[in-house]
Amino acid sequence: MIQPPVGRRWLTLVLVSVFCITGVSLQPAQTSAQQGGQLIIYSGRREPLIVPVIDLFKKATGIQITLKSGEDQALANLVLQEQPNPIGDVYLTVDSGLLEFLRIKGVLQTYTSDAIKKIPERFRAADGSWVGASGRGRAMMYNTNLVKPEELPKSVFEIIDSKWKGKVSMDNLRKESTLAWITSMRLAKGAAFTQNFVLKLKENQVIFLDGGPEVRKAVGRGQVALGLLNHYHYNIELRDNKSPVGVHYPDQGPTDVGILVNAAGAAIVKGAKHVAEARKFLDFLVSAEAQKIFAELNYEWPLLPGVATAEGVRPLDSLKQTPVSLDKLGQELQNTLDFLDAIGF
Amino acid sequence: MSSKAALFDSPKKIRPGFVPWLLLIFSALVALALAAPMLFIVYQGLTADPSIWQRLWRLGRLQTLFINTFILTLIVTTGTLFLGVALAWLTERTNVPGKRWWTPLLSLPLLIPGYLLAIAYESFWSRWGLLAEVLTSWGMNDIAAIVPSITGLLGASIVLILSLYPYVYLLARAALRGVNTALEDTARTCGLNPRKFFWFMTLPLIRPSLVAAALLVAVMTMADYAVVARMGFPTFTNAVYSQLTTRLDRSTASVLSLALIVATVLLIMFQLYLWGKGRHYYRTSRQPIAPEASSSRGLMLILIVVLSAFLLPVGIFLYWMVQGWLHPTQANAIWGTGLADLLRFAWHGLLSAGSAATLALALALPMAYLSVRYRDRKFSRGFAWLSQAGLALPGVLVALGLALVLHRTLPELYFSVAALVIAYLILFFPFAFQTLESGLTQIPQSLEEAARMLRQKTVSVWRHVTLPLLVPGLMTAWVFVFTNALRELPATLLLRPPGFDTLPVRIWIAAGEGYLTQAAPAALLLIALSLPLLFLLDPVRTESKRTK
Repeated sequence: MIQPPVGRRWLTLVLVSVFCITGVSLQPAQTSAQQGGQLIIYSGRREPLIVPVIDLFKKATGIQITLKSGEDQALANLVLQEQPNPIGDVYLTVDSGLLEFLRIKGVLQTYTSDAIKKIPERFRAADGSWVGASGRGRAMMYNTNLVKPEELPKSVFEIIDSKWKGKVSMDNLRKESTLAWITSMRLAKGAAFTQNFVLKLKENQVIFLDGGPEVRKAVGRGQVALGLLNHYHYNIELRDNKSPVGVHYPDQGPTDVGILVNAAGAAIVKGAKHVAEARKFLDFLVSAEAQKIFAELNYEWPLLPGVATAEGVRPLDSLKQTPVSLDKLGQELQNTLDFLDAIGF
Repeated sequence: MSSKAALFDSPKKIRPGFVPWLLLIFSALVALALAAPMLFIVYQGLTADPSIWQRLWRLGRLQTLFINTFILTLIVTTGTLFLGVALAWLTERTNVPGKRWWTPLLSLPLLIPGYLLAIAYESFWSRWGLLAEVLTSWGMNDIAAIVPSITGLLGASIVLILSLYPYVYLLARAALRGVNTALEDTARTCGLNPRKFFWFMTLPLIRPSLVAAALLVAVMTMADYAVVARMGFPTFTNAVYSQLTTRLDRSTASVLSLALIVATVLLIMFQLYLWGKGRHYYRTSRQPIAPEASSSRGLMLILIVVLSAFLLPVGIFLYWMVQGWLHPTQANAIWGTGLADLLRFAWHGLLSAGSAATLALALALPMAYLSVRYRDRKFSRGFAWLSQAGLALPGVLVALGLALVLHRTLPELYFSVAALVIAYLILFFPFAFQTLESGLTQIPQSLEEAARMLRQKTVSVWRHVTLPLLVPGLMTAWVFVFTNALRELPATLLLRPPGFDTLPVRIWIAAGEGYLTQAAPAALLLIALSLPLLFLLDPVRTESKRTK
């Protein structure tokens, strides 16, 4: 008889293997056991800004929440792909254009409640497919050491002037909030005007960075004089880094286009497995409690009338806004992508 | 019936012409399953609307991506070869001071995945980075103002060279040890000066190892998503990822992927051709060779590499972690820097990586056996080749391919832990297979045959003869697949089920949002969990010494 020279290491290996395989096979069982009070949220919002809201919701309702954070467009893709067997229940995004895009694709379900009806009509889908939760405007932030307030461009279209060459920074054009802005420009000013403007951006050495926070930091530390970004970045930069920065809202004259105000919002996916919980969550997003978090923590504009804007943020109704409806942003999204492709951006 | 006849009739002996059908079918299924995602991508890419090709060409995207990928791969391969060979030479053939300590220290960068190095460097360099901050606090404002930022091609090259050179270093070092010193002694006696001696004697002798190392580095560079993403230098893999995440259709991603697969396969074929041409067989001689006198420049090089590839990144993460402890913010809770959260992320990784490693062994063992013991049978080598698809597929493409396949066949598996494990299997199966294959080749077939002559059943032969001899190979393969799966980033980002974040995913997202203090604890834990990789390098060597 041959004695097996099988060592203890071999035994360990086998044990670890068995252990791991059981672990994986148990994993799905665990999730299905918790069905009852749970909700799966796909969120394109930055985690620090949405987790406090989710925590509050968990505390209030006892519903288990699984959060999958990622890039807005990637998650929108996911919602589309998952349609035969949806996993995500709620889709949260910073761009209502994407919500409308998903509505047109027919992957959302409608839900309207008394709470949701309190949100102004222009910030939610007419058929109740999605609802806006907080407002954000395209503003300018400048470094006060580098620019005097009187030198600021009256209109955003002046940044292609040679005077601003290499001094302006903005988000990558393919990011959802910038895409929405390009769409609004195409609709308000026409394709030829937009094409000229976008091409001149490159010529004028505008510095494209990856995301609003990068632009904010670049302006804060004086890397560039001027940044195009969402309005709340100004307040965040002041609070977190106490940088010498100012905020400026361009295009406010009587003949100007105004600034684009987009809504970050949410929708329930068609075929979602936790509809009751998802509805509760949407109601919670538009409740005074959650609206206050959006306003105070992230300096966004609360969309529920009666909730105060945070200190240091200019009230929404004092601003002239680009007259482009939010559902147009979704309808035109694909066209804007094709437009950028065609001009080689 | 005489006992002699029974002995020769024994069906357990490997007979010429005998085809182990069960093994063959098993291998065919595994190989096809592992290659399916790649085949799907190729199919999707070939059948895509030709206008996509035209658009990409007109926009200059294909050309730019091709040039970028090519230049980066060239620089990184050359750089790692130079650095790896120079360091191997210094530690093996010169009397550089502190020689004993340098080998383990120079292997330490293996613990740090490229994306961690990229994240650390990004936060350290530049006018607004950590270094400039420290300099300013010491009153050296002028120097702080000229700290360069490390981005783009330069940044990607530096980071990839520093994180990939250990592969070249270890292979070159092993090759230098294996070279027959008698050859070199003869050359020296004939009066070759040290420089000529290196170029004309040593380098050609270790060339097969270098070609293998260069292939590994080149493929890893082409497959990299994370480093080039952080450094803002778009390559094919990176472009596929952004197509997947920003465009609302998959055909463009498939087209780009197809181009990348073709490029990788061409590269592998070219290197195999080189490798085959330059193979040398020599008998090792353990005669110690007289070490060259080392210059202080050699020591400087070693110090700079150890500092910049290991000590600096670890130091940077330690700094950020301490910062996070000293100034706790609300973000800590959100990013899960607490011990319980970190352990949960680590547990997810251990679970999926452990399953992948075990499954990889279970699948690779029969296939390796077929490929080694029935080398001359039809198909057996073909399946072995097919199962290596993961070598040509970056994690991003595996995720894309798997998404395509699972959608059509098993939609329930999509975004499950199982899908993640399958992705790891596809990516790292080739390494398990190759390790086991070479392990089996070293076990003489006569041992198995002897056991069979002693009337042991096939299973018994396996259990008592083959497996015990294969234990070192199994351990190596398991640890290798496990650590690599634990550190895998892009496929995990794209395929993880909701709520199943792993350490790399948390680090990547937190760092991407600029929360370095919150990324640091997870990064350090990940580095610590990679420690078995070093253990793997050493025991194997001592093991082989022991058997001699």
